[in-house]
Amino acid sequence: MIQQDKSLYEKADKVQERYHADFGVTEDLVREISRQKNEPTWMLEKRLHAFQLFLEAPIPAWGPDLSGLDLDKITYFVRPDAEEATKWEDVPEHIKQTFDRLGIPEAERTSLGGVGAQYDSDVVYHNIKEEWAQQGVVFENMDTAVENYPELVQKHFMTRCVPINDHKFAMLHAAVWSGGTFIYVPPGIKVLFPLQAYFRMNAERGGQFEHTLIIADTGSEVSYIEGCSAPRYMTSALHAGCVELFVGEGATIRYSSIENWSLNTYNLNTKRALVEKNGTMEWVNGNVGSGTTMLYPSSMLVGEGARSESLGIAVAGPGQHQDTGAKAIHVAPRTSSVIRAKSISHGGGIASYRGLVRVGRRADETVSHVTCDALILDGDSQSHTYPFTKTENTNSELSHEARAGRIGDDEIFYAMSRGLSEERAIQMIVGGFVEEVSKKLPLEYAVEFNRLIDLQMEGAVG
Amino acid sequence: MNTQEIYVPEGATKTLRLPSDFTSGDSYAILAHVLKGASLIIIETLQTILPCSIRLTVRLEGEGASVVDRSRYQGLGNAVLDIERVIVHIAPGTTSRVDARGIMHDASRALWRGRVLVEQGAKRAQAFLRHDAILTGKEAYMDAAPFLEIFTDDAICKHGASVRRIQPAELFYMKSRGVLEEEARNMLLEGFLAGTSR
Repeated sequence: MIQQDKSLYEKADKVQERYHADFGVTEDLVREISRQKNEPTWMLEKRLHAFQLFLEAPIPAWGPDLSGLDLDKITYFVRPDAEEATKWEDVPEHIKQTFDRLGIPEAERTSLGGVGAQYDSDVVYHNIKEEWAQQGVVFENMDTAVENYPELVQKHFMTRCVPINDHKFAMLHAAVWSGGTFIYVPPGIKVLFPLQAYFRMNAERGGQFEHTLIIADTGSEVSYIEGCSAPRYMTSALHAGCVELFVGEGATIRYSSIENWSLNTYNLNTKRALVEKNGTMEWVNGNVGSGTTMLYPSSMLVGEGARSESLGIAVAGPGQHQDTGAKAIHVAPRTSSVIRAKSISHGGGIASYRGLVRVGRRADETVSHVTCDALILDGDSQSHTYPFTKTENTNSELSHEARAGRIGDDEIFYAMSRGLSEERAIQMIVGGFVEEVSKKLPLEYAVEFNRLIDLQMEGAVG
Repeated sequence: MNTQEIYVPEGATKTLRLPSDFTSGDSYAILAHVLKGASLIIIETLQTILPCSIRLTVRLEGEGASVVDRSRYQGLGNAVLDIERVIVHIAPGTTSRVDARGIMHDASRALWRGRVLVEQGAKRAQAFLRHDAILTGKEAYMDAAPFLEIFTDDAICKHGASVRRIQPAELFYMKSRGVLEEEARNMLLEGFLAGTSR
């Protein structure tokens, strides 16, 4: 039963493709992507500029080992044989089956305000509930947004938040990005139900480079959830997405993501929010899959009184290196940040927290608190913590605390003396450890997240 | 800068006062080997206006070896402090406790790196690493990073870091008892350096 569940995510689908680029990234490919998408000149120029920067930039010398990632053996652009649909029935059968198996349409019916589904490089389905569309909320495929909202996109797309020269994989992303989500919430509108996107990377040696751009205008509120998965191949795949969030004055964005890429995937993702005056940014990140992850969601608190809360959990099992963390950059006065990071390593997995809190000279009366908790379940696994605090302000308070260790024998003994097996006892204690994250997710996602962790931990004991 | 190597023999306790026990200058590098059942106590008091580089590595090589490291430093003027602590737990039952506090005045800058490594053989290791700082200078800068790298499940490791400020309430309390503001600030800073982290 459990094995069957696991195959939900890891089984590849046989699909027809409309376009499948050769391995490697070239200027011709960048032009071809832009041509197929019928993009305006400014976007093509941006792509080409980023591509030139990418060629010159070195692979990061810090963090996990990326030597197994051969960038010339990745397919950067794969289009499924499907047009974007707004009715679930119109999605081609073979793709629909995949998302049906993952439970996407069911979630839309029950609890979501809108859903997007991306398959390899193209978005195949997008829909937003009528009541939100009527209030001016835009929930679109990113490619469509370039066409329909050129001014908004040109102003925000990889400019102030994640500039194209940020790092090597942001440059690569800017050159070959495809699909993703665009959300605009007008001033004062509070979207009560979460909007959701699901990204599925099916092609072998594939690369997925979806771009998520969310703009929450003054006083608005929106909650967005992303789920990700890919089938399991023996060859490497690459996910280098980019998430840019603009939190307007007094606005709130809650961004949740559960990333469950398969073990052959390098997940080198960039997520960043720009938070204006009195804005609130909430990050909830769960990293369960992928062989190597480098992911540090960041909040740049540029407006007075801006707030950021970040809650993350990473589970590293056999063959996995989860290098995750969070960043808070305090630029304006009276800004605050809270970062809570949890990790579990088992079966030889490596879980690292890498974080940064930076307080600028102008950021008077800043308060920041970071807590890291790490559980190490066996002697072959590793847990590392690399917190950086940099401050130039005399009138701020920053604190960091971290604890690492294994589950206490007395805790396991207590649970076992009440009739639980050792494995069940550990599962229960781990369940309590991750509860803080699952509590922040909508019910369906929380159930899914707990199930994923149980699947991951299966056989971890004894 | 030459690295000086010291050994703390089996069962011995050695106290190292820095920098006075070691050098008259502000830059030094020490590699200490602590053998079975031995204890190393480090007491560092540093106040400087000069650029300085301090590298201190302690290897807990014998079962039950321990190190207590209490460091207090202050940067004045345009001082640039580059401080590194590396504690390596190699043998079982080893314990380490690093408690560092620094105050950066004027336009002084500090780069503080603490790194505790618990190797796979260091079963039942206990590590505590803490760094606290106060910035008083308008142009002062502090970059602190206490790293933990754990390669075993049988260890208890904690670390913490903070940057604090002199609390207005504390200052008010002192002033209301007739202490002049500047004097009150100095007393509070003195208290910060004298305190011990738990």
